[in-house]
Amino acid sequence: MFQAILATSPMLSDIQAFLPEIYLTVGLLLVVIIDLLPGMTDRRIPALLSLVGLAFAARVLWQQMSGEPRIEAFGGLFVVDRFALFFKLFTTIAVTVVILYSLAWKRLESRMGEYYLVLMSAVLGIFVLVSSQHLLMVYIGLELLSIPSYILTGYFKNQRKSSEASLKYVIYGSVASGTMLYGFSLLYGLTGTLRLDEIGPALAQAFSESGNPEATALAFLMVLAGFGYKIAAVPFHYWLPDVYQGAPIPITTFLAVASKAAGFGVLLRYMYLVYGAPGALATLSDVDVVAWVDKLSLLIGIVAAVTMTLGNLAALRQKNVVRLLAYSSIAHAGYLLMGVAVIGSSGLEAVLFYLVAYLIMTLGAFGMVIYLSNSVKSEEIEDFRGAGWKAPIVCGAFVMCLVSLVGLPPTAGFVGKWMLFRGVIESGMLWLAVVAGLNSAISLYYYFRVAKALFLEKSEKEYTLKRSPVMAAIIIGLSVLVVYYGLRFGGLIDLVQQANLFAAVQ
Amino acid sequence: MDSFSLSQFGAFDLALMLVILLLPLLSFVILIFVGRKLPRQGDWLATMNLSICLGLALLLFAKMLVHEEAPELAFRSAAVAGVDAAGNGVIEDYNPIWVDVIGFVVKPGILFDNLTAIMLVVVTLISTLVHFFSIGYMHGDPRYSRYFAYLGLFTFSMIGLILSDNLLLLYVFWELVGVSSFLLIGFWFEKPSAASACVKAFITNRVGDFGFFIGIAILFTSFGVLGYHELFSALSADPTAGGTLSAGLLTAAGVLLFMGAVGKSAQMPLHIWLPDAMEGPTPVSALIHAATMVAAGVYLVGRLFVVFTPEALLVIALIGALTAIFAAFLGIVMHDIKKVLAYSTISQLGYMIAAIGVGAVTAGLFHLMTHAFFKALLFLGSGSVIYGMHHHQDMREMGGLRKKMPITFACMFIATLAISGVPLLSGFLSKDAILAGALFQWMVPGSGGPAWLYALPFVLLLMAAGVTSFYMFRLIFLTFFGETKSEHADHAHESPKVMTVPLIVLAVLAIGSGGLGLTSHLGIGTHWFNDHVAAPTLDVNEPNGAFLNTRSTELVLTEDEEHAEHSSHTIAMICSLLVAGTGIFLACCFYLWRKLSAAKVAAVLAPVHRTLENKYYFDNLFVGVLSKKVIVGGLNRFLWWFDATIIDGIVNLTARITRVLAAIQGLFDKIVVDGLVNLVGLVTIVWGFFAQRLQTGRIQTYLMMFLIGFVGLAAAFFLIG
Amino acid sequence: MYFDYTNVLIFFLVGIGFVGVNMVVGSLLRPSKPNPEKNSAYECGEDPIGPNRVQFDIRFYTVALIFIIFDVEIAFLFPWANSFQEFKAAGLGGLVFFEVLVFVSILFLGLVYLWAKGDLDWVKSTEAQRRAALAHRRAEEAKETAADSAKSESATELDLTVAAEAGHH
Repeated sequence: MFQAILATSPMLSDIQAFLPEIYLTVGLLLVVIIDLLPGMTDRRIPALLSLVGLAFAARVLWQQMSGEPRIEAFGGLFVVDRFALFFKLFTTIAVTVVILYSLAWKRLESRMGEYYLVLMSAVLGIFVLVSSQHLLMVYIGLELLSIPSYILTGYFKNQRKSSEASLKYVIYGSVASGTMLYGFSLLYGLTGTLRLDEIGPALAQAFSESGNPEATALAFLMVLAGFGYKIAAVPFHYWLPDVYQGAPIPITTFLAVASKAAGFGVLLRYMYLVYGAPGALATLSDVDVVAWVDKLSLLIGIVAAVTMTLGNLAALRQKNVVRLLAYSSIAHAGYLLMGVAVIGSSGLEAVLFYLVAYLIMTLGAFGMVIYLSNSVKSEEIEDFRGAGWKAPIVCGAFVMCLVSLVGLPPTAGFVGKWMLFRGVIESGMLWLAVVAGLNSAISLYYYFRVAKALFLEKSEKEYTLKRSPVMAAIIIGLSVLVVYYGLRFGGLIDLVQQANLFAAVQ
Repeated sequence: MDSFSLSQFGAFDLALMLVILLLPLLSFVILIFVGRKLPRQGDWLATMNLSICLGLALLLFAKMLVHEEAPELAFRSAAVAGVDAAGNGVIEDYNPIWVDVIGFVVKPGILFDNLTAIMLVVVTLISTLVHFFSIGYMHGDPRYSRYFAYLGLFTFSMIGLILSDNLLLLYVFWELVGVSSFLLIGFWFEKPSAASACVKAFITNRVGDFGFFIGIAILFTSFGVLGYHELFSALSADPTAGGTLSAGLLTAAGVLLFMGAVGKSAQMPLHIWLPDAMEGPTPVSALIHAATMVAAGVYLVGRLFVVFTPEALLVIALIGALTAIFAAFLGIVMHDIKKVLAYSTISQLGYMIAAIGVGAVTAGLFHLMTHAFFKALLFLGSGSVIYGMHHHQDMREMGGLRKKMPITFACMFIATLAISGVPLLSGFLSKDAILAGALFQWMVPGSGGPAWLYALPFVLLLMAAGVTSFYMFRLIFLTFFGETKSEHADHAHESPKVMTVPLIVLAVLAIGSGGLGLTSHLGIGTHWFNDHVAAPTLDVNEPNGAFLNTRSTELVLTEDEEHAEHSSHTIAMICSLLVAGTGIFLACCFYLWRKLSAAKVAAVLAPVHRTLENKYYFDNLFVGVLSKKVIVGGLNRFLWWFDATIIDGIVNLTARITRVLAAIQGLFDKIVVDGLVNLVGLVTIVWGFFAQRLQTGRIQTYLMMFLIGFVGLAAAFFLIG
Repeated sequence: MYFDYTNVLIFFLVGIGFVGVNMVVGSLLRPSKPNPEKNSAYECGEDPIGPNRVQFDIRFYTVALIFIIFDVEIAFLFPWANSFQEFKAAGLGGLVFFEVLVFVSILFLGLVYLWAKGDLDWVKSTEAQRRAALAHRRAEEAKETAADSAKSESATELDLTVAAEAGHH
């Protein structure tokens, strides 16, 4: 009914495009209201409300998916295209699982209303971020995602580790977004516009007239620092291990999956609009410009190589599973950056595909940590010894996720890596593929150590594993998906091709 | 679906192959889930399934033997296409599309030719015998049914590897084989040594597979196809792949593909996992780590022979020959009966690899087959001995078992004769063919490098032949002759029938399997192997094929070369007989008649002996890479060495000069041979160290690093180009 | 290539030079007669009390944050009020009014939330928070120790003391 009213006024079609965000907002306001009502102490109620909000949003997203391929709203500040929808659906799925995890994790019990309120605000931030086509919207989206993340990281405000991580996160995040804003202001100075789709051609024109490659490069790097902080690329990754370890594990899951994916979403859109789109820099055939773009791609390639190497090598020495997964997520950011370095159609598709694989396998891995830590009360690898035989099917499913994280067939991780490798090799960066291959070999060792602890080592402590059918079902389901998409990935590739920004133009 | 016919191939045969492939998988699935509930824990099911496979494989093989057009069924007209010409259904059409990524289609096809047929028989035969043997050997094990399940998984993967017709499918099965090997090595995972051995095997293999995968990637990016058949036609049509592929890159691709074989077939420097893999049950060692899986590398190199450039082939030949000689030396100093056999296996695999490297593909694959039989026999025999000795494996505790275990002794003695190259046994024929090939390569060197390098394989392999007969007879004498040296040996007993019968079957094959491929100059036998499992060839126009290996293009020999080939057989045979005889004679002197003392010789050659006992220091360093503790230990040892040798050495230089030299010798071994892997390990420590140091937990440091990182990136951008 | 930036550099150097020269000249010309009164930090003519790096009470920040929310509200409402007549003229008055009502009521909801959670009380809230925090910390500590030494017997003792203390409150 509401939609019917909105559709009558052409001006209000903007609001229609914004409908998923509105549903989310309504959901989180309901959480606030419920939290104020006396007697609503059950910790499941706010979670349920959030899920309902997400479900409504998802319904609209699904409709939009089969509607217009591209809608611009609010005078071009906000754009709803398949690419944005891909990331919004992605986030919806990820957050649904994160909420289920939050329900299952025993250590979350007080102030649940606040928890879901803040979590849903972060989701709203992601929705805005991936749809923004304007530098200010990018900034607002990024902050709307970051500030709730800081709060959620310090959710256990009476625990030293949690508060400390939160404070570090705030300071680090402020410095990074400050740097990024400086980059934005430079871009504005160079082009005179804040709209991303206008910046590209304006820069190209500036290049073809006189050119100011140094200032452009500086602006680009500053913006990259801001996005690099969100996706935790070296050297902007330092906050990550502390924050992942300090935050509640469901929040860590959220940061590792949804927040990181959003960072990649905005980075890809930025790279596309400013450098890859028709009329932008990468399409100019001027020799200088080509060299400049090559240099840029090489630099991102180097960042990717260093990121994955550092992440993997640091993960080798970790004893805590969450910290190990933290470094592993840095490494995966490196793999994903390979696709960004290509600055092209195949790279973008590979990144999107790998993100889906990453979503499934990382959710599975963190789910297992929650499952086990509920019983073991610890996240150290050595405390997980022998747990595999207590719950062989779930742990087996978890090992499947690990196999996918390594990138071995027949899993989605393998197919994703294959696509990434193919992208970089096609664009002539064979060295990067070699580095990534070596890295995969290294990563086998530490993922495997976890599997070994689960199955091949004897447990020292006596405890009974608490059964949790819901968590078990989620983990097993995810591992089935990992294998399914490892074998039958045609449908997923279709989806990714639809979301391809480059293809949308042609 | 047409019916079975002896003279033609069709869809029915495809069905047979699929049955052969899937039966072991079926027994795996059943046993892993409900194995414990079945009567006798389901061993009969696995064994029965495998026996059916064996029967079907023999049927297919028999068909290949009588098939009129068999000579044409080599690689060039791989069964699928060849059969098509014969007027029957095209098997390829039955393939569903398996992978379809934006214009890149992979079909899970089956390639069936003579090589596949003989490999199928070897794998199913040995697997069946091992199943029977295991019923006795594993009796009473707490995870009895799981053991048979794993055997099923392995057999399934191995058969899949043989049947696949493209590189991607091969790679998948290749990894599956690795996984099942991992599971079986670590079968007794309560033992820490077994647990670490299985991890070591798996990770070492990954190092090789990494290269293998990149090799596949290079070929795929250049030609866009993955099937052998398609790949070879693309290579014949245009070896440069439209200019994208240079001679150097093709060589690199070849060497990288070969890396996979280096890992799986335990060639230097990735051989270190195989001796440790002996921690698994002995029948497993016989099946996987002697006869079948380790031969997969050889199979791969043989299959892809035409892809290798002369340079790549030279690398292959040299690595094979070096492995053959170095591993053979190690066989002399081992005391554990299974370790001796493990090094012997590495050495023999070196033979096969070297054979293919020098172009004697048929000889290499022939040796693969004969070796599978006699080495499986040796392993099962040693399993029987170990079983009789109540699971004691040290040869110094044995002795005099000849009378207590007569059947085992007789069988193992036959296998020893075969591996030592005593005339008319299978090993003699295949080894002789390899030596002849190597000698021919020396006489008519290829274009891959300086001519003297082509002399090395023959010389090394010949030496290895002598050493082989020495250590094998040492094993026999120590185990079966002389006095009993421990209580266990006193109470040893012959194994039950279910174990001895497989031994006897294998013994018959160790003698007779040579008959399948007697080389023509002896004038007897069937020549089947020689005629029908030839090296793959390409139709190449000269200008295009300039950098392909001439073995596959130059089929016509000049008169001189023909003469050389003829004489090479005679010379090689005489040489090998002499050398093998010397080895046996020396072994008799040392261990049977006790005229010479091994201890004294060891004392005289102390540095050499020490190096050998430490297995050329490979393990110290490789394990160091994989395990932190040993890394730190290794580093400490190095620092200690530095202190003790350099610092002290300066003080009293003259007295220590000899020791320094010896140590440098050892170090040279470590550094040179260790190369890449060790470097990776070192880099890992250093990086890990730095990464951890930088992650101080202080936000000030983080922001400082943020700034430095940013400035670094900016500087990089402005400084590049 | 970097020639364009030379004048920036020169400007920068001249700026530094100007300040430096002035300071040097000043120090040469002025008389130097220090006394304790002159060397002390300036604090509105009063004697300085303690070091200047004191910790601010966190409550100030809470109030400041609440203030900012309403500050932003005003910043939005002014331009809205300005253009309201135009919307009205276009026949969208009701809708636009509804929209701003949504905006204000969301902020109002936030205010109610803060109120209900006790963030608007100055004295009482701190006392309540202190007590809540204390109880929470004890419970957390007890839980952690219990988890750490699940097998040791002392854990049950500690649980009992905590329970006793909780009973007092």
